Amino acid sequence: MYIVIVGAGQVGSNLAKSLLALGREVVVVERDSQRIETLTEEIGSCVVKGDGSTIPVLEHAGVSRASIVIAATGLDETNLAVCQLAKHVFQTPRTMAIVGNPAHDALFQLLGIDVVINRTRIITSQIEEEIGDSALVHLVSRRADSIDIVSVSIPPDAAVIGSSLGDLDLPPNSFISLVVKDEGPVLPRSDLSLASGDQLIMVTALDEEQVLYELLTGIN
Amino acid sequence: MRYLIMGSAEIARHLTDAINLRGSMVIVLNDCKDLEDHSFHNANVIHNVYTGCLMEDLQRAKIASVDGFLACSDDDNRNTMAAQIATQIFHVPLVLCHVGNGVKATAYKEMGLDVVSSTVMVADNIFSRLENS
Repeated sequence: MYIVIVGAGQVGSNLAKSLLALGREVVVVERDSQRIETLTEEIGSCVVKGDGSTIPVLEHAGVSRASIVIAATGLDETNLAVCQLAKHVFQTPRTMAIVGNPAHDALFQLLGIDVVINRTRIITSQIEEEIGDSALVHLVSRRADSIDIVSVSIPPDAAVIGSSLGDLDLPPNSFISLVVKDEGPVLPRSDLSLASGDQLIMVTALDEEQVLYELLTGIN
Repeated sequence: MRYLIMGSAEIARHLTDAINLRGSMVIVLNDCKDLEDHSFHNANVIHNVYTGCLMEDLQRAKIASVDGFLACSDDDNRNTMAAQIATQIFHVPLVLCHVGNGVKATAYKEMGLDVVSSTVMVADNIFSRLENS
């Protein structure tokens, strides 16, 4: 599998090293000479110099035979251009883009970028989880389908404690995928009762998130 | 009519003057923090400066309420992304996008954007003058 990564910042260069370690054929495209020098010292000569959002540079990097193109520069607009040109000009089967601003997710998905990874959202979720104050943590967001995968922790004073899953009046497009109890993960059953501290992994529609949160935590 | 122009001060100023002659309202979004509203000759100008997030910049510049959007900054990628936000998210009736790189301009035309390329226009102009000389 041949993979082209555009952008040799922290994400791009570490990804390249990991993929090479897995035996993948990888080329990194980068415009900054200093970064190229550093990366070449670490991974050898599989670095192409140039603006990866231009067609001749993508051609030189061999995008026409790439299975995946990953746009990992620090600029959302550059990452969008890389993926669109790879798809339209070179018919790349799979494009992946790193997006910095959550407001841009929907556009990337709407324009057919196969995988959109929002680094801000990932960091935010991680911090929410580590802080532990929030009862609802976003795990994965699929804005194109208007769904989120979230984790909801049942607080000690929640009204749903003692209720069985079958009795919960969940919004129509919200589903429980997994219940994590003190003793470990349990598949959801209608007779499974909820206890304080249980963590529910749920798929939910974006517009149902607040209702779901209030139902399970009792917090407005 | 209301137009939003995203671009360098010079292009925005020329376009603003031309559009204002037609009695239209112009909002300018650019990267020049020092530019003042009075840099433009006509009073019908609202001046906005980039903050970093293109979607939020365009929303702040009231893209949802304009009749036309002209993306003519010096950055091709910024222009193509902004133009696609205008068409796909805000359904602006008229969207024009400047792409300096001629090869990239052709690719985006094929993708359905209404693209103008100064490089191609200048080259064509020079070529026609050579032919007519």
